[in-house]
Amino acid sequence: MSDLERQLTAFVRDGDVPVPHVPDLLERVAAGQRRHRQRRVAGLVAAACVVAGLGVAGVVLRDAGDDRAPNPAASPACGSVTIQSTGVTTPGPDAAMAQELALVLDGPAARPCTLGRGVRITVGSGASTTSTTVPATFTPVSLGVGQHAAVHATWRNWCGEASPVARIDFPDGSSAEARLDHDTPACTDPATPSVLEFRTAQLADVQGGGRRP
Amino acid sequence: MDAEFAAFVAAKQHGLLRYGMLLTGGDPHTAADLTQETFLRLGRRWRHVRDVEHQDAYARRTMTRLWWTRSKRDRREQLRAEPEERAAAETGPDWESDVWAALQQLPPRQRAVLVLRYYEDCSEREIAEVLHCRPGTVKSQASRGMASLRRLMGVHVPDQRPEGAVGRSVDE
Repeated sequence: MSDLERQLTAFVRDGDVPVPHVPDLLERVAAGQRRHRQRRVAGLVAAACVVAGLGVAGVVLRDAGDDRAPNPAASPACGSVTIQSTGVTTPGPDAAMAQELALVLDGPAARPCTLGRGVRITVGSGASTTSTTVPATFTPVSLGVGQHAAVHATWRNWCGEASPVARIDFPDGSSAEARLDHDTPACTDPATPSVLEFRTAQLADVQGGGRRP
Repeated sequence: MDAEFAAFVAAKQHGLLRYGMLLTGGDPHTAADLTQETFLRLGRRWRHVRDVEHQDAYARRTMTRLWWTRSKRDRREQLRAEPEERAAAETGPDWESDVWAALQQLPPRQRAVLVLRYYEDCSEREIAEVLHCRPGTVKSQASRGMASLRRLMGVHVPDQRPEGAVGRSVDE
């Protein structure tokens, strides 16, 4: 240790350093402690308010979120309609005659689905597709919750795939489909498109029959 | 205020005020503020501090840390007392006056490192831990502080220690 370091050590430890006279130091410390306690209490209160505010905001936002949750009443009325069974029957012994396509629908889940103008029935895919639309002259049928309906169309000259898919599109944008079995109309003229014509739609009591897709 | 803590404040305030004067280079107002803040810090941890073995050293380190933080925050601020106040207090031997006058002219952070080093006999690593800084910072501040002290006190004979080494080194 150098002389300078020794002098420095001696001075900082025992040197004659002027000490200010602070008679109220104890009171100043006590006042500082009181202020600190008050600030801490204020901080806790503020934190509690923030937490409570967040809680209220959370409840409000959660309620608003519920409003935006999927609502069956706001979804398409025909969105939950399904094709319960299909059937292709031959009215007479003549294979060249038109056959009848029947689609049995399961009613919607929440609101009635109207079977009327604009409903489109399609069979097949690609080049062999054929379709028909419910005409405006047809009196609409309201398919209620839990009800069933049968949609009938005449169908002839099918030269497409063996088991085509039948599809029904509703005006509200929803659709349902099911695959048909091998009972399709005979292919009488490959050069002529298959013809599908809507005939009728009516509520039905389903007691079996047809084929489940 | 806890009676035991009040007794602690009453017993230790003179020593801490003196230490505050050393740190601040003779600013009585800042020394008083530092002492008050130090006692407040100790009071908040009184249940721990009351069981500390070396309470004086603990308090001095707390004050040094406060001063270090404050000097970092207010580097541009002049925290030294007016020359008139210092002159009135210079009553010790001549060498004491020289040391005191030289200490007062050091920048705050250099003075803090030197005071802590020579008051507590701390190594650079210990000082760095107290001040929450790197040992290199302590080493550079101490080195510059000692160089300034030599220059201010007219010490022309260089130390035998290598440049930059002050007091106990990190490895001691």
